[in-house]
Amino acid sequence: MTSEPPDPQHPRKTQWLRGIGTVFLAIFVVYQVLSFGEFRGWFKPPLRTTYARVFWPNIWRMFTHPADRHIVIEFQGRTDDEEWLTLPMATWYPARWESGYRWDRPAARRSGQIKEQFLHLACDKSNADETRMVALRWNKTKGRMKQPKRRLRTKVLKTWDCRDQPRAPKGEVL
Amino acid sequence: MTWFKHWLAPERHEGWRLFRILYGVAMLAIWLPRGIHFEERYTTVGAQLQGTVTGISDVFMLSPSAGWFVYGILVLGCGTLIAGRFPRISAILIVSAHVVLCLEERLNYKGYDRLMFWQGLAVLLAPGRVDGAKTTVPIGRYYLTILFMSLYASTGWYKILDEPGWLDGSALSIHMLDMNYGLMPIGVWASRQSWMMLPMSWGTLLFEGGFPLLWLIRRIRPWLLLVGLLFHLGILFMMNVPNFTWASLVAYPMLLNAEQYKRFQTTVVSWFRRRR
Repeated sequence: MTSEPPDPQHPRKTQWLRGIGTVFLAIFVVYQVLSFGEFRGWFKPPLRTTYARVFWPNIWRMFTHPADRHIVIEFQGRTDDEEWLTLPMATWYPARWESGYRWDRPAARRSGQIKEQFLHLACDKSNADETRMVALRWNKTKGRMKQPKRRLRTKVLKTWDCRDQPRAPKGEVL
Repeated sequence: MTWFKHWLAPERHEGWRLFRILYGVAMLAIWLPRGIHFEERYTTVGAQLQGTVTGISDVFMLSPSAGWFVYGILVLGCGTLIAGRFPRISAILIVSAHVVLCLEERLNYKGYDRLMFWQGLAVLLAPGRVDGAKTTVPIGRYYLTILFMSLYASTGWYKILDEPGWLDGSALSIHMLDMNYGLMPIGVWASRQSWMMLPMSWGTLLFEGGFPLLWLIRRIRPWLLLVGLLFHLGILFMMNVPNFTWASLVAYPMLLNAEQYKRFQTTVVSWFRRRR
């Protein structure tokens, strides 16, 4: 048994540490419960927690809701009002995560500023007059590695005039 | 108050050494691949994205040289942590660099990144030189236990309360087909096997949702963690989220109490000796 009674050499120090530890762990438990409750909408947080929430472990939903359809984002460009052509964004900006390319994240589809930034990058590389971001959606097929594009639907998320300047962060470049 | 007499009683937990090494290795496993196309991901070379939850890009952005500097600090910190040199300073450097890079990137602050942040703080709460040699009050071990109880319970109960597809196995089979997280050969095959999906789905709900209560039963704790290990290995082979597996298993040695860990260590060591 490696659990031991309070250190006989430093009994007061041990008692003190146990007290501090108990308070610290109690606060940590309350923090976990609060973050769970706030995320479930049981109550409004007492303070503005937008900044703190990024660290909260309890906003981790971990594959709770399944998506019945695949969503792939495609970038297209055109010059002089000609036909839209697919742009090789994945070749120009190849960084990818388990969740796909940066623009595959749901937040990229929701935020106007993020779409502008990616569309402007597409302008820079393609020299097009206009670029656009298109979402391709199709149903998943069980048991197939190659997912056939059943009931394919497309939606233009945003069109961008390459002469415009995208909104950018205001931070100093270090 | 017999219970309180034993609460936070000093212990010598040899698992801290393994935790420290696993944490450093998992951080490297997560961050070394991110070094490929690093400048596009984390610096002004890629898309400059505004409106992060912390608004950090409205305060500062990383040029390529500043980005590589922060990345270098993180990798160096991992090296010194694994080697057992300046473990607390290493952990502070790792966690700080990890947070700065994750927030600068904006879109890919993953669940397991958040977990690695919290586990990094556990290194700061670990006794002595994080080598399992010092006897002290086990605040760090209980901190990790609360973290995992909360993490598993919240994700389990979100599934139980919010998604009926987890009760009939359909949610799991659909996840196996995700273009990015899924489409692994075993997972794709399994997605059609409802006889597999249903028990796996219920197993996930029982393990995750029941973890805090089951962990409290000391006798079944090692078996619970064995189920957890199989659960994460299952995810590793059936879904495309390897980093999640490394990040989740890092703290497992510390979820056993000191005595159980000692027994586990002895069993593993004697098994290896017999094999040789």
